[in-house]
Amino acid sequence: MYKKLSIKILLTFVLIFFSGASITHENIQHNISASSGDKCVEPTEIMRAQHHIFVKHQSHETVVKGIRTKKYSLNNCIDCHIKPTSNGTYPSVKSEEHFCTGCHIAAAAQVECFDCHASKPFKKVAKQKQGSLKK
Amino acid sequence: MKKYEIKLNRRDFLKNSSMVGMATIAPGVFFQELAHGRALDEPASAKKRWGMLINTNQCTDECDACVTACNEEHGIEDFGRPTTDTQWIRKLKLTHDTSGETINVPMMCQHCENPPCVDVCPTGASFVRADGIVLVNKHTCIGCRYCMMSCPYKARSFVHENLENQLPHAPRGKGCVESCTLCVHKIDNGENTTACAEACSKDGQQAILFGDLKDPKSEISKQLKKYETKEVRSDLGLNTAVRYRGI
Repeated sequence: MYKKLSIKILLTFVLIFFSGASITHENIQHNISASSGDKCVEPTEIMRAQHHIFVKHQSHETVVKGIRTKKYSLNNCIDCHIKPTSNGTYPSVKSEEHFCTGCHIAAAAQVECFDCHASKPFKKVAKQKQGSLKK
Repeated sequence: MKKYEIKLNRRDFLKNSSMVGMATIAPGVFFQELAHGRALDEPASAKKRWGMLINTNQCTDECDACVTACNEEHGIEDFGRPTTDTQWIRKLKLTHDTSGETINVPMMCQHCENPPCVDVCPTGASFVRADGIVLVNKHTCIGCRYCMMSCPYKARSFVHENLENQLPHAPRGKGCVESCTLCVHKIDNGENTTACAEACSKDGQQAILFGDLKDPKSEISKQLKKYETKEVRSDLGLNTAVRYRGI
């Protein structure tokens, strides 16, 4: 009886400990492009907790209604948060250096945004793509 | 001698001055509308219906400016598998059995008013936007491909390959169905043109005309009134937004 109870208490503590660690993820660097100011569209705490809700809402507004405001658009996120690495290229979405991927690995959250959406700012991608376009 | 007196109370003065103000501002507003279309936060409205008029008399055998421009605009790559590779616009060559006369027909999503693809979609991913553009909401598309089977124009493609380096304005990915969007990103941006129409007027034969079918002053409406035009498979009663001359 006491053994079962103690296991339950232990499990509860373990769960609380680990879930807390995955939500705060304080060790992840948050780098915002210097050229676009130092503030995100909402305070950091709100963005950490709710960015997926903002982006999902915006996706519906844009695709269905044709509203193209920039504030919560995924392209806007990418333009600010994805910075070139030391060799001048943008980090791959698979690497931890990528702003989104770094956090999602730590939080064990698998996102599918970049199966379809561009994971890098526009201009460099356009130049890289020239050779492989369908003719 | 008669003396003219102007008697204005406060309400009349405000009414008059506001009208003068409107008259001063209105031309500016009008020009801004012409230049930029609707504002970024304004949804697409049913006051417009975007469409195309394609003059097959001017479309030639060798030219593929529209196809190349579309692929470039949306980052459509060639994987060397013609049976499954994505195509948003393709050129058909029709030959008359008896006379041997040939016609070139650029074919893409016809943006029907009553689209079969929307009727059959089990998730509601296939939809008609307020301004008449038929789109796939890829967030809801499950890749069942019913729409591809129902489309009489074979306008839709299924993405069979893993894609990389997509363009920000054209999200595309494996497992979704896609088709011509009438360059919806350009329309929302106020450019009011499509990649194929631009390329056709610049590098091609000026065969593709894009415009608002509901605006009687637009060039496309004028030409629709002036010339005889046809829908492909008009017997289906789909009321397409893409119409053809010379077929």
